[in-house]
Amino acid sequence: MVDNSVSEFFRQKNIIFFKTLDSTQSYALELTSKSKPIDKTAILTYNQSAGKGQLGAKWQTQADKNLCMSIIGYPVKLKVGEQFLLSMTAALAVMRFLLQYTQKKIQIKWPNDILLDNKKICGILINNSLQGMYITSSVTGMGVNINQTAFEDGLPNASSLAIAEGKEFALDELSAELYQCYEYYYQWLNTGMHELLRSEYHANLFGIGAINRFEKKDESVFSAKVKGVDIDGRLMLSIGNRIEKFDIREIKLLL
Amino acid sequence: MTYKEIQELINLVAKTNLSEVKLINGDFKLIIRSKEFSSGKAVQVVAPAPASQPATQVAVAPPVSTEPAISTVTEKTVQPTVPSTGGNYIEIKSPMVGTFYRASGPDKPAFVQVGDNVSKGQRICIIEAMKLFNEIESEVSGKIVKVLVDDSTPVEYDQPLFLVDPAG
Repeated sequence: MVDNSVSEFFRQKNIIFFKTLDSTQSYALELTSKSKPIDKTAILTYNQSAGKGQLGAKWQTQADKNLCMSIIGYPVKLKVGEQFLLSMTAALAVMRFLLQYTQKKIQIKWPNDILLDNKKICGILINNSLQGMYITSSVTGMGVNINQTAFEDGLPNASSLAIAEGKEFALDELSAELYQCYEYYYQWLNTGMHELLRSEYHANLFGIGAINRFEKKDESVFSAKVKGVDIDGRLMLSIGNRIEKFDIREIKLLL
Repeated sequence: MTYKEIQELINLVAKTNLSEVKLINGDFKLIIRSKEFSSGKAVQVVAPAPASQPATQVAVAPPVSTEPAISTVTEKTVQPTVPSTGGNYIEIKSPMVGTFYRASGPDKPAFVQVGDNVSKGQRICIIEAMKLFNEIESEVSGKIVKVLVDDSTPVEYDQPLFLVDPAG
């Protein structure tokens, strides 16, 4: 249940809360395909039964422990070639949100995972609709681990705010905060503050300026210095005396 | 091809009314397009030559003003060739580099099949780029004649994805 003080905020901001939902992202996409929800309409649940990860991958969460929010947006004149700014917007929003509740180290792992003390605490999923060369609508799904303290064996690198701080958090208040953090950077995106988004993303990028290990598709491992991320979101690495750019299909950053 | 041969070919094409000439020889593909075709300004030369070829940066002096300006593009032959039979098909091309998906998930049905009629604005595929999933809408109405790319495979910018018969 959403308490009264927060429910007014939710109503004002068009945040639609569900006690349980299969997937906030699927719901938001469905809504967008059938109608035109107003800008920044959000779908929220703490009990996502069939969370959506990358193309059908499942995002596992325990009931009523975590926060799953999908926000519908209509970016202003955002070109297809600038789409990685949406990833930056979401990653920075989650970072800013987490920093309200913990002093621990929060970083962005390329391209858009959020790490708390080097462990994954958030998953971000973005679906866009394109028309010609512009992104006409976008749904940003953020799943943040809040009160879950035990993870499956397959997830040794997962964390949550409760693990970091040793206490439980009120999900309603946190939802309102996450939404406001998203609004903050979404406004940057829509008012052309793209360079600022980029520099803030880089300032918080895991491994920036340092030698890191990467795994190639053929499972070979190499080390290289992280120089940054280009406009397409490709990771720029300094190899020898050259800068090479990599797509996520080509390499994986090893923690 | 040598630099000189390419230059001669460009000059030859410039003297004709042809809007586009394609030359394919194994891995090597040369496309010469006139100004009318590319609507590009002046002489545009792009030469990302395939690895087996020496990287030729062709700088061509603009032909005399009455003749069409020429742009040349050399590229690796990655696109499936478009069947020339059947007249005026329209290619739907990829707006970005990424991975092509025909459905929204592995267990989901494909958005469109060969023979389906699509309308302008209809969702036809997803292209994933850097973990952003982009639903591509058809820019034309017509019948899907051919799907030119396999599911879950990489695509390049401007690579043809579907062939649509607008009369279909």
